[in-house]
Amino acid sequence: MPTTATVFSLAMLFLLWRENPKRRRTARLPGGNLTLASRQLCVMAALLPGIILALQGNASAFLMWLGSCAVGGWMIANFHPIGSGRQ
Amino acid sequence: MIHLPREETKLMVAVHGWSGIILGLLLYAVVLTGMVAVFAEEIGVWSAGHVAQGAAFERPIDAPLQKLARRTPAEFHEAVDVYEVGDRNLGLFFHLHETAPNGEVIERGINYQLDRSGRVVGEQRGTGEQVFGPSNDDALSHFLIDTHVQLHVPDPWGLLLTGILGLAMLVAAISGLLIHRHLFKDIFTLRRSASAVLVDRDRHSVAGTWSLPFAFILAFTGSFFSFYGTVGVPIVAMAAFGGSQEAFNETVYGSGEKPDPSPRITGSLDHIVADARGRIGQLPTFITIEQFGRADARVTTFHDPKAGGIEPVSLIYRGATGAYVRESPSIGTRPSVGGTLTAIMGPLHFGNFAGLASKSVWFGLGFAMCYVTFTGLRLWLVRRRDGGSALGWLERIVTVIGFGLPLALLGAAIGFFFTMPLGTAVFWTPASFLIVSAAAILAGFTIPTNGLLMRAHQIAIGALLVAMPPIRLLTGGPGWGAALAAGQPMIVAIDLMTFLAGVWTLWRLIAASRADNSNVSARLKPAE
Repeated sequence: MPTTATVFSLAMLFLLWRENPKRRRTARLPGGNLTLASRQLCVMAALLPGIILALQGNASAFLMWLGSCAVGGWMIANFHPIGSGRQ
Repeated sequence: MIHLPREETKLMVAVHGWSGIILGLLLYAVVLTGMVAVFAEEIGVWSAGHVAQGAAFERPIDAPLQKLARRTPAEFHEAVDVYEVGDRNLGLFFHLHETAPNGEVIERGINYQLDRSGRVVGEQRGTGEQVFGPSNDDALSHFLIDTHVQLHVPDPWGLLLTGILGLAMLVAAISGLLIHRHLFKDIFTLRRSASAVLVDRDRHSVAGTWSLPFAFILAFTGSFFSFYGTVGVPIVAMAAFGGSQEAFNETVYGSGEKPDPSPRITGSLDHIVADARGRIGQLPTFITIEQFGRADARVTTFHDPKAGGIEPVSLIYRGATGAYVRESPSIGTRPSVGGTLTAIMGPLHFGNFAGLASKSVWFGLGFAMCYVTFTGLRLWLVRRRDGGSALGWLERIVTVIGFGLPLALLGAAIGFFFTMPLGTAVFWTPASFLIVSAAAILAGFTIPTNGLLMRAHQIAIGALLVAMPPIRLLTGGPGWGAALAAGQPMIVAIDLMTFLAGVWTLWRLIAASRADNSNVSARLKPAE
């Protein structure tokens, strides 16, 4: 359960990283494909597994999810694709 | 986000910067050793080459307990701690409680260590601190934990120091949250080719933002552990128990039952262990017997959290009959919010509530926090350098500690590997740490530029990481086949992790060096 929740949230975080306007601007990339509303939906989707785990009272899974998303999110932020624009 | 007025923001920036620069290097040492200490148990197995199978509590323990009780003076029957030690050996500490001149309650008695065949292989008289101190085969993991807990500063000052550092981390986390106006907008922004200040600022704030919730958790729980025994207990004992910590302990942790000193043989511990395993689904990690050999004897078994939970479990049994009484809250005799909060402090700080998976996540969070601390220090220095106030000496100190500390920890591990077979690891593990630290400091004085100093340290770190698994094997450690056959994949995993971390460190240096060379050629071409 925490693994599925983490993988889902990290996928959402990756999407948010790819579409993040400020990151794209500083990397001199063209504007992203997602609108503000779509990105907000992604944020909610990323948080949803954690909310479900918390409501289930599964403290261990919730903390695992939160910690994995924190470390995974940081790693995603550090992702630097080869050939990406000059920053 | 939180928008503070300009003057308050400036004040917060000053609080954030100065609290970081004054205590940042010590905080870095505590966070780095804490990150490694998350795996202290596994490092203990890996470094000592423990390959024995079958937990100590799976074997009969009642017969050796009764046999040793007969040869132990009755004064030490006040309490017995039963635990696993070394390579699946059994430890039994018969002791009494006494009050030290400073008012602290200490344990004193005789500790026995039994090998897997039940033979007594070690007998030591002393206080709890001496008995549970470092031994030849756990000198490395002990060294790591002691550095993290109190930076090797004597009691109680070391704990007070690390407690203050925890509070400084809380202050830095709160002030960082208040000064960062675009916390979520900037969460993915890492400029790589901007000015040095912007690059360092992005690195610091992105890592800080992602790890912020855990900075609060780890700083708070760490301070709790530091201040609990050094400040909390003495103050409450003074205010409510006339200064008696023994009375405090009895009220907070005691059974509240009427004492019955009449002699009675303590019931079978094997039966209690089997019953506890049936109730919780796992063996105890530790057992205590209070008032051994008396009618009011009480046995408590301690267990890891149940699946899905983070609160460790302990069960109480009547010592005389071996009958189950109830689950024991960590404080008092009935479950309470305070008791639960106290009980979860440990799992939240150590990240050990879900085994290796949660420990790996906590290790990653520790790494992020090391990164935040180190980049914060660099950012403070780079800002001043750009502002014209050169602090070259401080830059060097930051480099020597930032890279010299992990280098010295690796040196301690190598010192341990060479000296453990000789039985002198308790001395040589910290001595090796000090020798490598001295070499790192000397390099700080002699290497001409800070860039070269940083590179020299990183090369040494990479080389030692790569060399670690071969050194472990050459000094008599078990091979991968033997480790896997004994059900200890951790030995293989740590070997692989150290080797790959070394390769990654060296590869990054080579890549950076190539990038520097190509930048130089690119600049030279137009000049030609």
